[in-house]
Amino acid sequence: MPKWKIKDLFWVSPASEGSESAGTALDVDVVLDESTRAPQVDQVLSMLRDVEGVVGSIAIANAGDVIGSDLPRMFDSVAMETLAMRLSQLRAALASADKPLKTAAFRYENHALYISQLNCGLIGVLAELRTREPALEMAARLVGQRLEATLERASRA
Amino acid sequence: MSGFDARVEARSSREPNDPGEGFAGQLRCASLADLIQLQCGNRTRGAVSVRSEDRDGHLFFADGQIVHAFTGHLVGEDAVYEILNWTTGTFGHSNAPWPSDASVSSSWQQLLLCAAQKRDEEQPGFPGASTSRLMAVKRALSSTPGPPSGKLMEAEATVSLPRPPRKRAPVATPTRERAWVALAAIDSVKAAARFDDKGNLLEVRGDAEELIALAAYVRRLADVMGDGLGQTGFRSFECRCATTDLVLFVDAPGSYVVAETTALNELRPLYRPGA
Repeated sequence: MPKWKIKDLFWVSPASEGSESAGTALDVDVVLDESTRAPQVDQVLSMLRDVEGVVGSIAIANAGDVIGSDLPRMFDSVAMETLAMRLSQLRAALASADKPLKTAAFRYENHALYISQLNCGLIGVLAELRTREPALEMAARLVGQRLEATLERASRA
Repeated sequence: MSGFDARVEARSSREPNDPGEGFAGQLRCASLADLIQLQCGNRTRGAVSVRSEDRDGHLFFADGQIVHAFTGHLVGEDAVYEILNWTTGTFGHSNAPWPSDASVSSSWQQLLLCAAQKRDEEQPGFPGASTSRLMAVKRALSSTPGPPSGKLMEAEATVSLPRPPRKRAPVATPTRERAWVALAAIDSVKAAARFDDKGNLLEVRGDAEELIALAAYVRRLADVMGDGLGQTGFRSFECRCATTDLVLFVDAPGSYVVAETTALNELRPLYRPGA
């Protein structure tokens, strides 16, 4: 039988579970309000579109909140929040099975959803299948660093 | 034609002007895939030359693997796939110089599987590897006769044994089903399971109990997230974790394979040919 319980399918802070991101300066869940989460974070995420084939991206805090998004307008806030919740559930499910997530990819018929673990949460990138993964991986790493720096500045302000 | 009848057409062996030793013969209906399996199974070190129409290619074998290949301007795995695409031709000993570096890193099982998948996707009507026709003529491709290759001769002799006809897989179940079989040859797989759309366990390997529950949940998440993103046709899920990696992919319509591995790259040819 699986080790996790039903509560694990909903987000539990990694800091409280002693996950690998514990101990960093950004352990504490970043929860930003509408006014702070928008332009800067979205601008950082837009850098991912420099990689050919990237459709858009979303950044999610450890608590499961949407930090920012660079997804096309067809994805409204409800869709983004739902996606954020699902990604948090994925991370929780993997963590409860002793498989803490580093990176992941869901591949569909035409597109893929790439996921990168950050100290402060997750980045999800929707991209075409032809996207060069090494380039995307590098871009996601750089964007992740910038995102964390941006959020750290915002949390200090 | 289904399957193959690897009978030797007992052409009188030696060409009058052939100064080399041994004999020449023809194998009708043997396939390159068989040749590769035999050469690798025998752990032969040697090179085989393949000619099809006006194209020729060379496959180099060592330590039970293909280590190098070239044809035209292609080198390495691309050359292997190109050669495996040829349906008729001849093969024999190659005098091409031994490479200083290996250009092929994938296992021969992965190469064959990947080649089959490529054909399935690119040419739906293409006959399976086991049905491709090859005329093997010993040293026929070599302008300068080389020393006889005992292993190759052995391989030819083995191919010549009659085999029961193989049943071709139905069109509806592509060769991806072989992925489950191929998993057995990959040492990095710690545990694996195969399950259907309803989550019923079909096959299991290793301690996969937890893996199955996790996979069923991830499979469901893939659908609901896909719906939200306007995506259909789930193909695969890969996850790099702290200690091991996890992969879940469509094995055949309505059938999924989940595997825990320490080397994700080794499994990719099973579900992402050409990646």
